[in-house]
Amino acid sequence: MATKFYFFSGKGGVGKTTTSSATALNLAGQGKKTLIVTTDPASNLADVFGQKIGHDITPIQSVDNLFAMELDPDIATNEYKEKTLGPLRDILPTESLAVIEEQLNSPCTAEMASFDKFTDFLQEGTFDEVIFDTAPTGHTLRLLELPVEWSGVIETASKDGSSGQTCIGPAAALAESKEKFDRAIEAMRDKNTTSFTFVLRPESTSIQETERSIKELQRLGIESIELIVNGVFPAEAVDNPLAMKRRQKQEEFLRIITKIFKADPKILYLRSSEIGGLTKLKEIGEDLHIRAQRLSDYTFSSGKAKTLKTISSYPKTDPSIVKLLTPDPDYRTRTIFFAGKGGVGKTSVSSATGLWLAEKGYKTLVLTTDPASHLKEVFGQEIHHHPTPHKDAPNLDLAHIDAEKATEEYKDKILSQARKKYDAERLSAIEEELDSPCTEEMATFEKFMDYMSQSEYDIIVFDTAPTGHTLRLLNLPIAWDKQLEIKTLNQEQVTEVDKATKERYDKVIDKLRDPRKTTFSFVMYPETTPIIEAHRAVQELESAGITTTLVVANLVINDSYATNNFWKERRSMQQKHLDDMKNKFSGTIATLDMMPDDLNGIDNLREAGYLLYGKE
Amino acid sequence: MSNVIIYDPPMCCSSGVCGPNPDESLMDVETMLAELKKSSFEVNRYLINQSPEKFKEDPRIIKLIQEKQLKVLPITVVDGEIIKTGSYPTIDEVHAAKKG
Repeated sequence: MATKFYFFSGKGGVGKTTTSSATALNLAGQGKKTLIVTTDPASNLADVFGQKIGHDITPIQSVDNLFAMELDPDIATNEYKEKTLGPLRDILPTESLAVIEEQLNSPCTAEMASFDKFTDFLQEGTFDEVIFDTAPTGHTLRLLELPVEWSGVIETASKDGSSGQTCIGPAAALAESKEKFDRAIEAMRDKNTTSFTFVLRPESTSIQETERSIKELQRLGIESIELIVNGVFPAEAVDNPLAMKRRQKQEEFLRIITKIFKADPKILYLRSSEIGGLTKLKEIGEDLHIRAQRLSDYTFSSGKAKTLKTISSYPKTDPSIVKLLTPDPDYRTRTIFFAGKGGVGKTSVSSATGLWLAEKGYKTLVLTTDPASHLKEVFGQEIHHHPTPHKDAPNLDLAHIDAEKATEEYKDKILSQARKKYDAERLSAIEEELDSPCTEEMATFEKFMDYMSQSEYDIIVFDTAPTGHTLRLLNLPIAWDKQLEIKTLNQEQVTEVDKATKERYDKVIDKLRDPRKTTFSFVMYPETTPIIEAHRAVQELESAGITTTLVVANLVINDSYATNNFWKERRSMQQKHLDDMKNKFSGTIATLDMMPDDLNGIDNLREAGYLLYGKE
Repeated sequence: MSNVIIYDPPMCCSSGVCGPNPDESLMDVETMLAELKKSSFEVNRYLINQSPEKFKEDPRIIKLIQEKQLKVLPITVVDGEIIKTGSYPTIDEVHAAKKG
């Protein structure tokens, strides 16, 4: 029987790992030889199955027929490097080998290696079923685009009159890789071979992101898409005003989902406790695949929730937090990063923080580096590649890094230099060479470096992409700095341009490492997986010399709403984790209560800012 | 038909338009190779980090690296003969070296 592939994708925190593992359990339970692969560099799969997994295909001890693997970009890179180094190991002097190895640490190799490994899994193999638990949307769409793009690059370079060279080697040597990519593309597009499931929550941002992603997949020729709506409030949870208000919101969104998507989604309800242990996971597998409830069967509640007054009181403004958020007296600017697992509220917290600071009189820019950002929905206005003022808030500008625009800018810069020197034919060849996925990543990174070097704003608040993606971005200045060093090793004379670039990178690296200039903050729910993920990332940043000084606990249930067993259970679960956070993180902790509305619009954001940092 | 092989040092990409700054000297090399192709040379370019097996195929290249480390690269071979090491040749040097 041919292997079947299942992709689970969606915004961060919607339940991709839960639904994909539950599906894997279900398939393995039917006696099918099943493999679950996570492509998320910040995966929680090991936590779900309560055992070590790692980069090798590993049997899950407590489940027959089930195997798992965590694609580790570092190990994939080493394997990829070994393909080059292996043949040379015995014949070249160690000094030369060391230089080649350093070069292979280039960021391009790392991306290529992960993607190459990923396409390996999309080939016919020994498994009946292969399930991909993917990284949050932005990252995953890129992974799916890469086979198409690289296949195109190799094809162009093989044509007569082309250089015959690609960024990843001579086109002639890549014929086999191209065949592999093409087979992967074909498998992804065949609806009898591959199924795509988007997991979403009944919330505006999650719906909008799903809608956009579906369009992107269609552009790649992937048409057949299923949906799971997760986190729907069960009837027993709805007996207090906050829950009623939130359910009313949810139902508005469930109606929108029915209207805009072709597929009739399956529904999963919010549970009073966390999903740990195989028994619960098996139950969810059955909820999804045996007694699945469809949205078309859902009974909408009647009646309207009462308007709700906030009962929370604002905390007293803590001078130590103000110090973390505003420019140090000795330096012109402050850069603040909000990072964390997908879906924990990075954009909301970044936006609320940006507004709070702007209203204190600081010239502030809120900038997102997440390709799947929903800053637009949060502020209710178009966000551009160039900073634009917020329509109502003075001192507040908004922007996102648009990969396509950044790539155009970068290409224009290089081509306008080249135009002075080369003829039309050569220029078109250079343009062709620039048409590579490497260029896009480089261009986005350059734009990030521009912002890191700016002095126009008092404060820049970075709303970052989910953890894995962000760790990679933050590691790029260090990685490219190293590449410039290798380049100078090979050259008699270092060019002025390279010298200037290296100085610029060094400055940014310094800035990232200096807590007087940069504040690193992790946002999380008081729940197991977001805390574990943040804690891991904090340690990884620590090893790069970057200290985390602020932690935000989001969606904390205010005691006054813990009115029935369902909410009391959730509240006490949260308290346990809030205590755990104090032990795990050394930085200041700020909390944000669960609010009745989605955090959209300036009034809600202002309220959130007061809840976080105080009002006076 | 004459042929040129360039054995390159480790680098991200021979096009010169990759990495933090465009590398003009590499772009000039590509321009030269395009010219050579037009005057019916067969041109092959191998980066040591991408095509190690091509380096192994020519024992002379490996021997040079063993003796002088990577700074002996790039090495240019025209019609089977090593004509330049340590830097790229000019187009005239290539033409002068071709046999027949």
